[in-house]
Amino acid sequence: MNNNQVIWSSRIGFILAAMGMAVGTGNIWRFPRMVAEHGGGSFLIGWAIFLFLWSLPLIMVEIYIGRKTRMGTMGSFRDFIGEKFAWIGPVVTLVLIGITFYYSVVVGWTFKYFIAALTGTFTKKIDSTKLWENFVSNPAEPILYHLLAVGLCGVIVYMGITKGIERTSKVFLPLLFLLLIFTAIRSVTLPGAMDGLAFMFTPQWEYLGKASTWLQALSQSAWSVGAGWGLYATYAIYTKKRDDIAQNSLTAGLGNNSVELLAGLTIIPAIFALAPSQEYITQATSSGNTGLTFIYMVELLSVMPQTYIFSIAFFGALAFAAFTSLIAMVELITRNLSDYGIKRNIAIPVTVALIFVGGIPSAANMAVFNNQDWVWGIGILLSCFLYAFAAIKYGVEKMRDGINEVSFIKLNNWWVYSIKFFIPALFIVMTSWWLYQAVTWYPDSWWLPFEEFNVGTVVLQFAIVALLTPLLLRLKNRLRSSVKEEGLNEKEDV
Amino acid sequence: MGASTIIMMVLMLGIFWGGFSYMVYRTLTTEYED
Repeated sequence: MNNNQVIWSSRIGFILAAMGMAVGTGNIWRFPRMVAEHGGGSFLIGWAIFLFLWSLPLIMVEIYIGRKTRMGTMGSFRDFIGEKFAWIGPVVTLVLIGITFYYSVVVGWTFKYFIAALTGTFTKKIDSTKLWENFVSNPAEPILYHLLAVGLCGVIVYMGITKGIERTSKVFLPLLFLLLIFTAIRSVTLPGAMDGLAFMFTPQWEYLGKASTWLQALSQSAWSVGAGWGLYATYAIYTKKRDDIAQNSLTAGLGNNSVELLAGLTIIPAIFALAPSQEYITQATSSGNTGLTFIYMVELLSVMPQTYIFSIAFFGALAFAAFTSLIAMVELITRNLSDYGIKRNIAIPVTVALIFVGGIPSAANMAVFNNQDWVWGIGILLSCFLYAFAAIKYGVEKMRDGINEVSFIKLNNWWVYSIKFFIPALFIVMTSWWLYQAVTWYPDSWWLPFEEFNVGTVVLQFAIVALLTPLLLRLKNRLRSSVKEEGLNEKEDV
Repeated sequence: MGASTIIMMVLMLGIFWGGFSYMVYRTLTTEYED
């Protein structure tokens, strides 16, 4: 493998790779559930607004930092706003590593169900609860699929930026769209599906007065667009100097939300058309991400016309969405190791091994998985805030002018206000709200460190990040832009 | 399906599907100098 890194072969290559990263399981299994639980069209209003107030400004900040420093997350903040703020790099990176550990397990689950769909498992009437519980309660199988998921991502990353990541995205993203368009059309043409369609888009005005509708809409945008996680910044390392930041960000953001709408049009009308009762619909939409996807959707598949084709399309879309997101995470960790001077062909297997070992507890135990999902979900909000903070320290107006120099869409004051005021304020409100929720879930033990979803476990694991940060900072002098050293090439030899 | 439902559907699909399609079209058809 040539050590030289390359730039994306085209703008659309970068956009597809960025969308592949952004579109994940959250788009397919969380969005429809949130729409159903929080007032249909009312939820959509908040969700649409927060794309422009939270996610898009953060995507632009990330791309700006990644391209300017040409460094992984660990060292980019030091180069961007100075030694004093070098600590942000380890914090952002450790949060992302925490997510990657359990997200690889999710990708493994989607592989398992995609393979089950291909082999026709869902064409027969099966006990979907038993199938799911048997699968997750026997650690060997989830661990094996977790290994398969991270191993395959390692292979793609090893193949390189253009020949691996870009080419994979160019195949999987259009395929994902086609599969979801197929499943959405199939769902909305089922007898009785119009009720679901109407439910999805009808604003239930009373929900607009509830804080939870707005906070869940903001959380959905923060968790599904992937802004502020460091992943856009990593992919931006390989963009050209004059790539249009605003256009690329807007395309990726709109594309991400388009996929969410397709997922909503797949799941909500199907549930309304096929569910035996209103009570069943409520149970399905309040059964959590995995409950809705792996139990209720599987159950409904067995009574759907063309079960075989629909199940392949649905679980195929889910698996492709999850897989392309994990690729970006593997690339982020690999790039950071390369910045420490480790050769890429060594950094990749080290990354794969690290993720595999780190993900085993989540693969083996659902309580650990749930805990990690909760803790790092909060961690992501911190990471988003830190990106906004870095932009504020650098100078938001200066950054806006830099983006405007190369963009056909000119950013104005809304962007500046978003970074300076909205994002910090929304971060405080959203984090406080989630932690308050956690106190209400465990009123008597919210401070204990080993509960699944409480405040104590967040504090404990953030304390571990705080302890690891100074240790990693000791190595900061080894960090340099491996991409700048190796040189940016238009072509790549593997 | 009431008027508010149809307005919301047109708005959401217009902004996201329409906007995304236009941005992809623009990206693919613009000749960049760099």
